[in-house]
Amino acid sequence: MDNEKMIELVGLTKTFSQTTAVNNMNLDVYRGEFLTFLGPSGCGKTTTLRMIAGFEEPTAGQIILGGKNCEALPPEKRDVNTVFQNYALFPHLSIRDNIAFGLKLKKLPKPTIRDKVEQAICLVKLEEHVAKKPSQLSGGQKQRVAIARAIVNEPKVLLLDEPLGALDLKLRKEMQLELKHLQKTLGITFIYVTHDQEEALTMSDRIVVMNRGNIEQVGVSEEIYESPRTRFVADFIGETNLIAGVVTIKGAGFTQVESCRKRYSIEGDYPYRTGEALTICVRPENIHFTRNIADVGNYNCMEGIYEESVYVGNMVKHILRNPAGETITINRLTRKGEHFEPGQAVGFCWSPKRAVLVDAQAGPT
Amino acid sequence: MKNQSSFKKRRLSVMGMTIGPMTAWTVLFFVFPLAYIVSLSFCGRDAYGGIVYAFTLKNYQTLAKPVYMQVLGKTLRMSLIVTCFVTLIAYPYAAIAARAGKRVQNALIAGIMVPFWTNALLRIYAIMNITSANGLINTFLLGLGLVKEPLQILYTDFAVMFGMVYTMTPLMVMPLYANLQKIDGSLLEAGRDLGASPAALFLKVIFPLSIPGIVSGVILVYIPSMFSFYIADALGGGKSIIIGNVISNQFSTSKNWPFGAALAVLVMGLSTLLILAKNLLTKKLDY
Ligand SMILES: Nc1ncnc2c1ncn2[C@@H]1O[C@H](COP(=O)(O)OP(=O)(O)OP(=O)(O)O)[C@@H](O)[C@H]1O
Ligand SMILES: [Mg+2]
Repeated sequence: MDNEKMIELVGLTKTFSQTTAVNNMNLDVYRGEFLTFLGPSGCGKTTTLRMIAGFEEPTAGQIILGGKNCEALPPEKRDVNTVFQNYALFPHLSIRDNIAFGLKLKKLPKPTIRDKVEQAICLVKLEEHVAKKPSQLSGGQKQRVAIARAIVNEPKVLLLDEPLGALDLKLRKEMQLELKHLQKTLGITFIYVTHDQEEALTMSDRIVVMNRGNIEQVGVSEEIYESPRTRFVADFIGETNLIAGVVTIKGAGFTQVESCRKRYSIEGDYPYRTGEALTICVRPENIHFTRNIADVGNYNCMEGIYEESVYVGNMVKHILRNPAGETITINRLTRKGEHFEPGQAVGFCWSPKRAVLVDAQAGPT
Repeated sequence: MKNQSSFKKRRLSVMGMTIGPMTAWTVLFFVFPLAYIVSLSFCGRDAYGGIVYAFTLKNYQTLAKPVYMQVLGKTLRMSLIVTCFVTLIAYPYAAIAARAGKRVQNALIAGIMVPFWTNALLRIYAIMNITSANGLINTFLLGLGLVKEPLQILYTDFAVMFGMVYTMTPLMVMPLYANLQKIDGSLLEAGRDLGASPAALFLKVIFPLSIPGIVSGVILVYIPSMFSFYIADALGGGKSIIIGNVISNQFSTSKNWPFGAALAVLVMGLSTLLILAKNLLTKKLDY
């Protein structure tokens, strides 16, 4: 990944008769990057991809591909290839002919086509299946054909719309690693769509979190997980506890927030002003039970009513309700052997370093 | 044990109730007439047109005579030409209908189905009316001074083929439309994504995928064309005859049922071969 811009989306907007599927999207995608669009169903991921591929005309805004505005280019003239969600393999062609489809259209010399196709087949490990028809392949194999058919054309950008959606968990995990590896080997820019956050976190260089046609946050996996900027991102990515509050002190390197007449301190410089309504966001694995900590010191402490515990193998999820009525989940290792009775008042605390503040409202609109 | 056998009995009776009428229907209206025609084709005929129930191969020997072979050859040729024209007309029509919006689609399908449901003879008479010496076309051409004498359109091979093309087109449109509409839109997008121009997309994706539809349509058009004696009667006026007319004549004016049966068996045999070939081809194309 270097700093050369491969795609620039400028004010990209798509409105269908009533719905705005994509709203004023601004985004730069860099060469060799693995970028993931992550968001709930209907947030406009596919629509964005289809606009980049040329299947959908933007209502407003521009798509600049490799420095050139490609507004007037039909899909066949764009240096972009797509791996379709349902694979869209040509049922009448053999696997080899499916993969050679794009190269044959480019009228390359026959030996060149043969070599490139052979190479692509090796890359996706389909050597035994080249003569078969798509209907004779398993889901994972079809998926690999779809990828080979696209990358053999050496596009500037490869668009992948939930390519692993139809696979079972095990194959999915395998293909995630294979895809990531492939992307690094080939150095092609990948724009990948998924609504599976775990998939996004493991595979991507950068993640674009989308909600209702808007970008909520763009960042590397750690940023998105550790420092979500909006309540939506915090809630959508991983498990989290959301505690509503109001800023009481805006200090140097810390912010103090009040919730239910108790004050909590959060480290970090935030642009929020005193009196602003915010949400404290703490991950379940960052909360401890107070009685287990000798010196609570500057920790933020809260008390809740214990509701239940859920055993999930190596961890136990403790579910509590805080004075404001918000559900608090605390993940603790099973081997710690912590046990509480429902209805019991339980103290818990977290470090000011281990919490973030997010906008109370759902992200920028 | 007893229970089980009564259950079996009940199942048998249910099966009898469901399959029984079907079997009776098939035997009564298909197997029996077919067997009758085949056995008839091996019978003789007396001077008054009566059937002589004695085994003979005479009918099949007569059938091999050049006159009949010529009519058969002409029929096969004409049906082929008709099928080609029907395909050329039906393909674009079905393709447009398959990809059009809901409204246009309904209009196009109605445009093909309404005439199809109108009595065939009625439509043939309409064509006669338009093409006759003092019909619409000739009046028009004479009026414009383009021709001095009325053109002989009616009672030619051309008129017969025109009538057939007109009558058979819906039979090609329907399977083609069904086939083209089934083609997944994402395949077309995939084709363009991989660099196919609209023309290349047609040649490399749409056309190959529509071959099963074309094959079904060809069968549906070609076989009825060989038998459509009423079109040849009306528009050919006895000058342009096809094998269907010959067969029909044997059962009516010529009163030679056994020979008519032999001709029918021959054409049915050819049709069966065509259908077998089609099945073989579709099996090969089965993806
Ligand atoms: N052709 C269309 N006509 C009208 N509305 C559409 C069309 N395509 C998409 N939309 C709407 O645009 C919004 C975004 O759709 P899109 O397919 O981009 O979502 P997505 O993020 O890909 O969702 P998913 O994860 O379910 O695939 C949805 O509200 C959808 O209903
Ligand atoms: Mg989608």
